[in-house]
Amino acid sequence: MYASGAESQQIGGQVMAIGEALTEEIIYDPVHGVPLNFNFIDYKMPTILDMPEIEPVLLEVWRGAGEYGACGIGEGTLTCTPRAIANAVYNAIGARIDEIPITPDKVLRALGRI
Amino acid sequence: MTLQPIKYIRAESLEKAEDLLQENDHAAVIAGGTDLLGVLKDAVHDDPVQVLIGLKSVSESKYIRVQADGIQIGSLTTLADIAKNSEIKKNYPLLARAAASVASPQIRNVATIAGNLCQEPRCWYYRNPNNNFDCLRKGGRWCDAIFAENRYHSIFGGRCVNAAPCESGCPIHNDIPTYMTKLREGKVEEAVEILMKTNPLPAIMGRVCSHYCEEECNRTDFDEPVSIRDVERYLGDFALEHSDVYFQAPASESGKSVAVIGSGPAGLTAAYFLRKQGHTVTVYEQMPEAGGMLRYSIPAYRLPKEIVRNQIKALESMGIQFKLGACIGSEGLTLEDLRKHYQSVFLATGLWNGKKLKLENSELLDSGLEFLINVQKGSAKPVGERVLVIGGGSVAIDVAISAKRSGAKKVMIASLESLEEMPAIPEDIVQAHEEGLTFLPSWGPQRVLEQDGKLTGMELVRCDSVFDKEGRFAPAFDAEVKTIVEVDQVLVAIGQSADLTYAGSALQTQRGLITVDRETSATSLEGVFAGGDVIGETATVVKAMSAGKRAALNIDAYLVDKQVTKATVLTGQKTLSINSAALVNSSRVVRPQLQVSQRTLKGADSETLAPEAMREETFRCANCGCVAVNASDLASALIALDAQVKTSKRTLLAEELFAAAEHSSTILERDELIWEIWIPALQPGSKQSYFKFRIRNSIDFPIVSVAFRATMKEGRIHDARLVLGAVAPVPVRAREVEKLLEGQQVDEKLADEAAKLSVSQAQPLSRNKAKVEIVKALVKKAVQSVEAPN
Repeated sequence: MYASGAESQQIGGQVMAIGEALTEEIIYDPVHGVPLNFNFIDYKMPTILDMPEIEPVLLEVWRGAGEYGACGIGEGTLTCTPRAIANAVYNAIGARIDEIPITPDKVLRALGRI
Repeated sequence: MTLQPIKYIRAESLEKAEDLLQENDHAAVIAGGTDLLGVLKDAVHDDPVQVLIGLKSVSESKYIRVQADGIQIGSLTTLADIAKNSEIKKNYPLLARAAASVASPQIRNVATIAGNLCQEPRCWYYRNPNNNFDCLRKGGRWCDAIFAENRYHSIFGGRCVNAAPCESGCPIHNDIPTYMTKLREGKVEEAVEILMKTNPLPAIMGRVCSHYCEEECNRTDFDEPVSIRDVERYLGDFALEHSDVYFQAPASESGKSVAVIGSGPAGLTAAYFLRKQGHTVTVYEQMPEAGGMLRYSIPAYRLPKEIVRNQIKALESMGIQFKLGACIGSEGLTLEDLRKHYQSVFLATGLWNGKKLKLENSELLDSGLEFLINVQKGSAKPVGERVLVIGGGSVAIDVAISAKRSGAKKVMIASLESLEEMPAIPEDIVQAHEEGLTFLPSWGPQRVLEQDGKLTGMELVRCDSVFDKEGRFAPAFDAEVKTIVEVDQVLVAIGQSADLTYAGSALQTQRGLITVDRETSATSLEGVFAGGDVIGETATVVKAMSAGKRAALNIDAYLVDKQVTKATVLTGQKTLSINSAALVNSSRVVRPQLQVSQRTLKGADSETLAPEAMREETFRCANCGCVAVNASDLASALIALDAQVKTSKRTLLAEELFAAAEHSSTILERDELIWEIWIPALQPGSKQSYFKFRIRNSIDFPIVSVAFRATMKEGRIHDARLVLGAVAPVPVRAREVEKLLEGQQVDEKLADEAAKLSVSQAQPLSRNKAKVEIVKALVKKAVQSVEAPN
């Protein structure tokens, strides 16, 4: 197996996961239903400066179900991250935020500040 | 929409670029950055850019020069060069940090400081692809951000881009948003003062104005327009009740004298503004009472005559003299006499002759205007049982309603125009329906029917269209379609003409109206001015007032030999506190009105709003202004450093540069480019910080930014600058906080106080309350940062 390719997939998965958890959201005009942030300035995917160090771990335990034993290794990695981040936020502020992305205004609201 | 081909011209110098901008209305400059590219790609402008003038090749404007007393930065210096420059990093770390926070390294390598300052408005409604939304910054009337998705928008109110639509729609440009704001604050006296700067007859206008302001009100599309006229009526009554305060004689006399001929709205308005300037004003009126059409034609049920009398009394108390029953011409003083007695004469004699129909037996028809005047004088003949009014304007409706209330059983109104085209304001038409009048739209008078010299009816013919293709009055009839209306009386209200016998041959006239210079209101005779209906440009009371004001300004300039100040000063670019209470649906106030069956010819139909109802209505005014923020990082940084911006035409303080203009964030003219930034040297002990709160750490605009600078002397803060970015349409300098910090030692308590004070004037919109907390956190951090090394 090409290990560094697989690791890149895992790191890439975390970019998407962090985006999903913290920054990415399509914003619609509530009256007309028109999307307002259909560009990559206003729709905020994380950049390299937003990424913490990611430590990929490859664990070979199972031959994949695909025709030649292939299995997904990128997208699966992002499923847990938003939950982990939500738990971390709860741990930090003592209030649950059950809607992603977890944005500053949601944190302030959960804290009763606004 | 696909991107249209755009011509690219490489400019050799900034001068050349400015020349190109002058030559081409559809040109824009692009320095090095990407702001304009997004605008072009998304076809944000209604009127697309066809020529791009590239400044990348202008290398002589890329420089950073350190001088003894400051630093010069060429306008095309890249952000990367500013962020890396050792001198800037050492002496102006705030600027280096702000520059380094912009976008991404790739963009900073090409984007310029001037380009960063001149970004187009950052609002997703403004920038929505294909010009999807109406937007104040694009010359539109509506702002969706005020009412809908505004999470990143202003927390310090909006900014008028041009004048508010109500204000620009008003012929005399009443500053409606400002007086509405004062009323919400409970400051009635100040509101009256603001209104009376432009409108000296508010009690009258509050009752009879055609309220162009309400037609323009943004609420019209949302629910119903604000009842601006009813609010004005309240203010007008207040002004008359306190006439000693609002109608004061001028502090000093100019020694010049003016005769105003005619005491209608044009004459009274001119008299008021001339008297205010200290001139002696004498008003000549041919009728026994002053007020012109206000007194003699507009029915008392709409405008009680007591109000007109009180208004005249108030004007008299300013020292304006009224000469009543004074004819000008062969019977009394001639125009020549007046010119000898007074240094200037203003003719506002109006249109007092009702136009007649040119038909056989038309002597059997009565004049509608004469009927109204006789009703006012108390000398009207009894009306017929069945009355036909001919005409489609507001006077025709007044005539018809007055006829009904005088005892006519059936009143019909025949007009050439269809109901939609009738010049009468819609409100009048609604009232006419309420009062049981019958409209006969699209019919023209054809033949007077009579028997033994007595009127029996009219034959009407179908009118297919009233105006020709050029919009000129040229009614076309279908001779095949006719009808007969049997009536006992016909009142004709098809317009009025002037009686100019007094004018003599010296005064130039044209088609029965006085000829004037439309700019200056001057007639062909030296020192003689004219305005109002008699020059044929007005049709409503408020337009007559506008003519009166324009004449007054020009007469004043003529008398004291000075430049004319412009009559129509619109108050754009003022900061407006968006009134969030107005952002939900509501119905407009209904003034207390009598039941149709209780209405009479002489008593008022309606009452002025009670104070509570009036105040409630003012909360329906949203105070429409742009709420997009200025998101430039360099803007707040340069203001905090007291920088100056040099353009080809002037030198401005950085603070003066920014505005909420159409398609622009600066006050710069279309062909005016920034040439250089100058930052004065700072005192030793200068502490600086720049904080930027954003969603992600690269390629992102601030949600809030704070630029802070202070000089520390013996542990105390001096000469602080605190500038908040991305919180309002222009950067906000927190002067109150700067004052608070002066001479203070920094501790947590002071930082908390500063944070609290920095948002004390905040007015968050529906979805951006979080920004207030972010400002507080950043301000606290900034104040505390003076303790740390730069």
